[in-house]
Amino acid sequence: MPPKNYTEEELVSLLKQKDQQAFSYLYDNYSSALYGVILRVLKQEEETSQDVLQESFVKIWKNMEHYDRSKGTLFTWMLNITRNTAIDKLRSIKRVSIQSIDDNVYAVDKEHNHASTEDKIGVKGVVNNLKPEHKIIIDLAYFGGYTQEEISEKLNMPLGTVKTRARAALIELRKIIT
Amino acid sequence: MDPKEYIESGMLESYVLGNCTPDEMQEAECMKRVFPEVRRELLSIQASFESYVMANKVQPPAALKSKIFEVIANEEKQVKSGGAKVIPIYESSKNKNTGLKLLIAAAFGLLVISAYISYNFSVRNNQLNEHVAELTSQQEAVQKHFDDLNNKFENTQKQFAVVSNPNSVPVPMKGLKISPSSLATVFWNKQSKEVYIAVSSLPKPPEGKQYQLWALKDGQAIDAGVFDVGDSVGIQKMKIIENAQGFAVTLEKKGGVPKAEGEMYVLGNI
Repeated sequence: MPPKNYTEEELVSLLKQKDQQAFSYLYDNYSSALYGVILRVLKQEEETSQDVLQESFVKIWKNMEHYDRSKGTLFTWMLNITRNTAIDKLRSIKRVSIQSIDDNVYAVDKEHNHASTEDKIGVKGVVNNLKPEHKIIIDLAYFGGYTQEEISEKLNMPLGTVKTRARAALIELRKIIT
Repeated sequence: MDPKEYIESGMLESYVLGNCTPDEMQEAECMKRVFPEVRRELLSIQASFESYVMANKVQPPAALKSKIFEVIANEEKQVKSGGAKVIPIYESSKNKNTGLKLLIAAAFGLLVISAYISYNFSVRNNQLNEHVAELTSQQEAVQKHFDDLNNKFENTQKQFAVVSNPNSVPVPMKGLKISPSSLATVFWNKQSKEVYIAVSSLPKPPEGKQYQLWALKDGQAIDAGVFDVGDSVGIQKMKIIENAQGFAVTLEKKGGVPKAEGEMYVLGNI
């Protein structure tokens, strides 16, 4: 089938009507980005990550009617569903084995070596140039599901600094990307 | 809250990184609705985060797609067929007596089950009622917070309109001997003749007293109305003044007087 190009508006409207072809397009265009997020949350645990990707897509399919374009992009909405599903899974696993911060930092380092299959040079190379103090905030907050208080405790850093670091991190990210 | 300050606080970034508290989340949603600049900033942070995620893609195994689509197709089938099949629980038996016994046993069983279910329902119902009450009060709190913000925002907008009007002449009035640190500013619109007062600092008036503004013109003091002081009053609209060379504030009895009698607190010339 030739690749189809939808505008986001068309795509959303078709998805709300539960159009299989539109959903297939959605999968082809976003599954690898979402899978990348899940792998990082679940520390590259592939089998669990695939389960979470499946669970996330089923949720996206089922909840499509609740998506509201005025609140944000489709991608951000899917990211929220996926990230939350992955974090829930991470917490249910963690309840069994509690990890120390060192393990987390180690896992984060491991990711550098586990190169993704795409964009080997491109943006990814640059993104990994994020200052380490910025990268750790994004890793702990977004991919680790830690609250600001927990990060403040773990990094032995005042709560205010955690917030300003988060802002500085995303400003740096924005500069690199644009 | 000041939108610029809010943007700089890093709260929007925490919102995008998904690690703020439920209260902070509500606050961010509120701020986004009230202030267009907050909304713009949030969308731009989200967009850069989307690019970041896009740059870190990992292809899932090819077989996963068909597996996921199979699961979705099954879900759809279940939704369409709508629930489980009906299985007959009792078929006529050869022995009528056994049939009757079975029927009584079944009836008794059903009675126990139904009592249990209704008890469960009532517990659950109470829980739900409590939950609804809690949600309603939460919703009211959010609404109040939103209304407060909206009020503040409208006040600020109004003040800004007065202050930034090109026809508006600011007349700072400095404290006199009785209260040297006092300060208030009159904004007099040359065209519409409207007068506004913004109080930076005036002592709280004693019971039964109120401050009164006077327009000064050719040695005469023209009544421009009384006003209140306090944190929440903001900028106040006074009487129309056709012409003035200066403004002054005196402390008078509540409601004001036709001719200034009390002590003068601040004074400023145009």
